[in-house]
Order: sequence, then C-alpha cells, then structure tokens
Amino acid sequence: MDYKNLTDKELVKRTIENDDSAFTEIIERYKRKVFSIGYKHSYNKETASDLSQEIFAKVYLNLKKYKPSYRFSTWIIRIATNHCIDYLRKKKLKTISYEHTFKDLDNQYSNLPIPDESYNPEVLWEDAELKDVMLQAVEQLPEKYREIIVLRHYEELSYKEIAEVLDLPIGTVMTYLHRARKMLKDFFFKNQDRG
Amino acid sequence: MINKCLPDHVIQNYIEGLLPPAERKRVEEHLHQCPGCEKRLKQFEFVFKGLEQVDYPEPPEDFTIKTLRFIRQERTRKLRKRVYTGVVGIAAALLGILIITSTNLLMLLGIDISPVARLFIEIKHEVLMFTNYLTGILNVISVLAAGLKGGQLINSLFWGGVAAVFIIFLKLRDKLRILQHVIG
Repeated sequence: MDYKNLTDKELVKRTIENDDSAFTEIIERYKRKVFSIGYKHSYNKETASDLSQEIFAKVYLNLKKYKPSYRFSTWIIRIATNHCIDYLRKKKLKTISYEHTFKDLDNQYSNLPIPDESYNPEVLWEDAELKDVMLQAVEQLPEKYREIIVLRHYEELSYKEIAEVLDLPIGTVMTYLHRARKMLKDFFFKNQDRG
Repeated sequence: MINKCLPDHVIQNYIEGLLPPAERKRVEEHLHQCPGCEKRLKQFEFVFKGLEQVDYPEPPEDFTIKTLRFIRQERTRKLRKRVYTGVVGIAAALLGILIITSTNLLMLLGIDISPVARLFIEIKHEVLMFTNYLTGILNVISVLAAGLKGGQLINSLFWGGVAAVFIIFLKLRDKLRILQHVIG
C-alpha cells in the first residue's frame, strides 16, 4: 500500500481503523513542522524532540475528535502550539508586562552596534549575536504576541490559518502581529529614537 | 504638503505587500516626502529581516521510530489507567452496597445484632447524613455560581455600554472638528 499518495484525511481514517502504518506516514509528513514548533519554544534539540513526541501522541490519541471539515495541517499545528504553550507555562515563563519586556536583554544588546540611518539589514543580520538577541526578544514577547510571530514568520502561515490555529478573529491576529512587531522595533531602536 | 504620517500598521502592510495598488502608490508618495515615515519604514524592514533569520535543526533520523514507540507506551499506560480506575470503582461500589445491605440482611435473618453490627449501622447512617450534607453544599455552590455568572454578564454589558458611548463621543468630536475646520 502506497500511503504517500493518500490525503491526510484518508490517512486519519485508516489510522482510526487501526492501520498504524497510516499514522507513520502522518508523522513523516509533519515531523519537520512539529519539531520546528517545539524547537522555537525551547531552543533545545532534546526538549524539542520530547515535545514533538508528546504532540504526536496527543494527535494519535485524539484522532477520533478530528473534524474532517477542518484542514488537518491546521489541526495538528493547533495541538502543537497549545502543547508548547502549556510547556512554557509549566516552566513558569510568565507573560511579562510591556514595561519589563526585554529588560534582561538591554545589557546584552547595548554592546551590539545600533543600526543608524545608513545601515543595510542584509549585512547587519549576518551578526550571530544580533540573531541571538532577536531570538531572545521574540521569546520574551507576551505569550499571545509570541505565538503569532512564530506562526507568521517562522512557520509562514497565512493570517487565516493563524486565526484557525489560535481560534481568534483575523482582525485580532493582525492587530497582535502589528503590535508584536512594533514592540520589537521599539526595542531595537529605542536608543536611536531617543537620540 | 506632507499628508498625515502613516500609522505603523500601514507601514507593516506595505512591507508585506498587502496594500491594494492605489494605496501602495499613495504610501510611496508619502514616503518620498516624509523623512520620519521613511525612517520608521527602515526600522520595520530591519525587524522583518531579523525575523527571517531564524534557523532550526532537523529532527533526528530515528525520530519516527522513537515517536511510534512513545505512542505505544502512552496507549498502554492509558489503558492500564482505565482498567485500574474501573476495578477500583467497581470494588468501591460493591463495598458500599455490602455495607448498606449487610446490616439489613442480618436483621431480616433474625440474627442478633452484635455491638459491632450496631456500630456498622451507625456508620452507615453517618455516611448517608454526610452525603446529604455534601449534596446540599454542592447545590448552594451551584446557585452561587449561577448568580456570579449572571453578575458577570451584567457587568460586561454595563462596561461594554460605557465603552460604546465613549467611542461614539470621540468619533462625533472628530467629525465636528473636521466640519469646523472646513467651515472655518
């Protein structure tokens, strides 16, 4: 049986009918996406691997709850995102208020070159330290903003898909995304704007 | 004349290519004239570029096999838990039935109830009283919770109404100012 030619919904149906090879194909199709979501919430390969296994276990044990009217990819990303959010909550990475966001990064970033008006983003972002600061800045965004940044910029989902995953209106998704990017912009350029 | 400066969300939508052609052209014309907005555009482009830079590793080669093994373990664990819960539940129910019926059975058979059996009857009576007491408390809590939900709904409606009136007031005030500016 060639499972690669079956659609996601057909694979789900077969898995429910106790065909575990069908679920193996589901894992193969989505392991990179699920692993990347796990990694972007932990920045650790082993933790990402553990999270991904738990996510696929949740998917498997809840397949009977999947409604075929929804896209399967959206459903699995929703489970992955919610599981990772729960993981971060358990780790007690609390939502930080706007006034305290990025506080710990200020010292780290103060040693890096502040972009002036003549900067070239292509060149600046080759700096590994700056990339690290961006990763940490995203990690420190309020939870609802961070998730939308991850899904839009890292997972490259459309606004509609993000709205389905997070169960939010599209307008709210766009508002949160704009605010999240503004927070990041204000963090990187606050010294330049003051000067 | 420089038009009113561009809001942040318009600049972001411009970078993402989400603006219709007419608005895109208007934004570009404004950017040519407004150094402040041009600066903000560059800042947002910097952020967008930075968000593209994230790399992430591939899952390990044996990921699928390990995941399937993990799922099998989880499946077994859940099944064991269900069986255990079922057995404990049935045992507790049987014990309960035994306690309640045994004393009545003894009496029916005319067997002399020893002090131990009398104690059994008292315990049964106390357990039933306690269950009734708990049920009463749960009923009170349910009524309170329903009242609280109703209170929350009234609260939401009230403040929603206040916010709506305030927003309408602000919009009317802006419109009046524009009208005054046009007339004046």
